[in-house]
Amino acid sequence: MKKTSKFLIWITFLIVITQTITAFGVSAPFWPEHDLEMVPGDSRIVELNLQNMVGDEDVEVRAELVLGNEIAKLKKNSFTVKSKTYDTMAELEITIPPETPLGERISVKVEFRTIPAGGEGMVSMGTGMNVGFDVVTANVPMSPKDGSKFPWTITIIVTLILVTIVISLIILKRKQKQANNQALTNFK
Amino acid sequence: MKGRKIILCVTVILLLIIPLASAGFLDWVKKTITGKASSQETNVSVTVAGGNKAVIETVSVAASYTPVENENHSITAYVTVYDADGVNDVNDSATQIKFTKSGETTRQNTSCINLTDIDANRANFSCVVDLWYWDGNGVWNINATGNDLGNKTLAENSTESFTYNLLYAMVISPNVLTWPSVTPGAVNQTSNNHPTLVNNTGNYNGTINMTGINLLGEDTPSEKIYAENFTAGIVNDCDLTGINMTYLVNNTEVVINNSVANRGNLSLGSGSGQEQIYYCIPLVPNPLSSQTYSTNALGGWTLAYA
Repeated sequence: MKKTSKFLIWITFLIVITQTITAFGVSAPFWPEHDLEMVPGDSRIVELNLQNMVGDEDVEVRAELVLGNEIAKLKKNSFTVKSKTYDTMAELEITIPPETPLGERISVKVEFRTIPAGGEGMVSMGTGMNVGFDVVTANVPMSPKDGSKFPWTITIIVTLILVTIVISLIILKRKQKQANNQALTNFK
Repeated sequence: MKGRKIILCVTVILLLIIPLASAGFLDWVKKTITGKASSQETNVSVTVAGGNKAVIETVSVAASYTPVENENHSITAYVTVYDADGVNDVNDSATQIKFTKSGETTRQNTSCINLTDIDANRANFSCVVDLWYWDGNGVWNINATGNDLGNKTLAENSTESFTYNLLYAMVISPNVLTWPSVTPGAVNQTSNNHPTLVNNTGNYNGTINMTGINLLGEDTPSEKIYAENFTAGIVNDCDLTGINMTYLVNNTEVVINNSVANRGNLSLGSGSGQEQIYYCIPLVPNPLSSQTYSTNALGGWTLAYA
């Protein structure tokens, strides 16, 4: 009985469950069939959107860059994703060295893992997402459909400056003309 | 002679000016005394419908949208309808929009709202369409249609599109696994609170991966049950054929054979958007001391997408 007791393995885990579900999500603008095209020498931030819309608990998430270290860098490695939110961003900075030949394909992969709450006598379970995509070097800048925006602010500022210059020139010319006329009148 | 000519000219002019018809006094009486009210105010409505057909000039959306876990994402498209006959000829109730993608349910709005008249010939419509968390990622095409009151020829624009991003998202329940007490050498010991229900709350479609971690004894941490002693599978038995299950590997991600993320509408309750994962210890290691073994020391197991 003692022997039996000795060999009896209690893998019975106490069900002291404070939360019964784990929820987590990551949205990515690029994926295996949807490459990110970049010009050699270019640099950009890819935002990976962390979500926790279902659970009532905040989720602690660890991120690790497992592929593409030569061109990519995670700005942060741990995140708290608040419950009922979908606006936490994990920023991935990607820089393509200028000497990279065109047509080069570099895989980038980030592993996100929730940190299970844990507890006495439990096999705790967490969730994970492996976000991967390819970065392809190309000699064409991204089209507006790929996310870049027309620089309206710069355009407006430049236009305003030009208009100001033109108006100033007109006023200056008029003043000059008036001065000339005055001088002519005085001369007469 | 000259005076005659002048008289002749004046006569001709007078003849042209004075009406030739004449009426008697009775005609005047008949016209004036009719028994009807002499005047009355009347509202008159005139609809002018032109002959030119309407044109969908522009359709404006963002370049991409991010799905929201377990919810819909309301996408607003702005549609400009032009009519050469004037903005009043645009049919305000005819502007519609459809989002289409091969293999996906078409999402549409058949009653876009006329927000404002941009100018004398253009109206700006707002069309809100809901895309759901399970709708497929990739390029969605936009088809906007409209019409006018006069020409009635359907105006159509299918030049625009947007990208709906990929969302990896899951909800697992329960998030703790338990086994009944087992003896060393016992076979086919299944968990007593499985399966883990994996709800796909995003639009990822692929397999489910599992990372197992060795369980350490809580009293004697040097003793362990290796992750390789466990299997994870999609059927409720210890299927050792390897078809519907996979042996776990310590701290290594393995694909659970034949598992699918199975994106879909979870509220249908028909298993759409769900997968179930079962666990087994095909052979309990022998010898092992009697104590509780857990993931507390080395960290939990992970179910992952992709």
